[in-house]
Amino acid sequence: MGMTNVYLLATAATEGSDDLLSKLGIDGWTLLFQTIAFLILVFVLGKWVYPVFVGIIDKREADIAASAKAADEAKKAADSASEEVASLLAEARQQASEIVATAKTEANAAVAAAEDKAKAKSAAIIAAARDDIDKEIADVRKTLHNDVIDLVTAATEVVVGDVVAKKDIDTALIKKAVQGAAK
Amino acid sequence: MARRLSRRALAGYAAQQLLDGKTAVLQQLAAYLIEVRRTKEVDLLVRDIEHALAASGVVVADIASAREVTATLRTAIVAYITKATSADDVQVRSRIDTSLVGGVRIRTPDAEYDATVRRQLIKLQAMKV
Repeated sequence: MGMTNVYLLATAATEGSDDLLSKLGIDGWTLLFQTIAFLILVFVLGKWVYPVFVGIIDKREADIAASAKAADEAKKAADSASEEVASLLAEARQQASEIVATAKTEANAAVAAAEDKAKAKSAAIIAAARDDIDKEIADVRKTLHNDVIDLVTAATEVVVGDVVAKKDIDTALIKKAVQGAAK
Repeated sequence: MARRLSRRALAGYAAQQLLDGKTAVLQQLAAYLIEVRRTKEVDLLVRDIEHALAASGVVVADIASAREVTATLRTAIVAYITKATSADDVQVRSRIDTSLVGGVRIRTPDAEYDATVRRQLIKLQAMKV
């Protein structure tokens, strides 16, 4: 089909363009004007319209690139933030572990100190109780000693009184005392 | 007003009078003490007289016992006092004190010898703490 048209156009050019265009129903001038109008249109579009669209497209592309870059940076920032968060979490865990360890150490120290204090206090209480007991024992012994002496004195007085009630014994006692004093 | 005589002077005078056998001095002394209102000094004066007599070789001894002392024992006690005080004469005042329980207590102006059961009981009581 294309070849046919070319052939026809070539034939018409050789035999007379006007006739051929006329036979084809094409007005030469119209064709010329349309061609010129087309070229003008192409020029106008190329001069003013296409740059606008190209600018828009370029701008759009730049925006997309910027967005992609921003997204990439955001991703990097997110990754970095994630790493930082992980680092912070690790640091926080370490600090928490240290705090817990310190707290355990302090708690153990406090418990040990409390135990020592309690032991010292209990020892002091025991010592004081022992002192009190010893003192009470000493008092009881003293009382017992004195009571025994009172008892022995009373018993001796009764027994000896009964014994020396016999005059001979009392006389012998006095005689012995005087003889002993005379020596 | 008469000069106030010392108890020592009175005792010396009374002892000398007694040694001379003038026992009336005791009544005079009693009257004097009443007159000068020194009756509170009787015991002290008696003690001073006994000291004065002892210095002159006459010892007055108090013997206390729970029961009456036999004559033999009394003689032994006098002999002991004579020897112990180097006295020329020993006058004994005996007294019964049942609280002594047993034994004898001899008191002279210068010394005391306590051989009573009461004394031993007191010593036992002194062991109290």
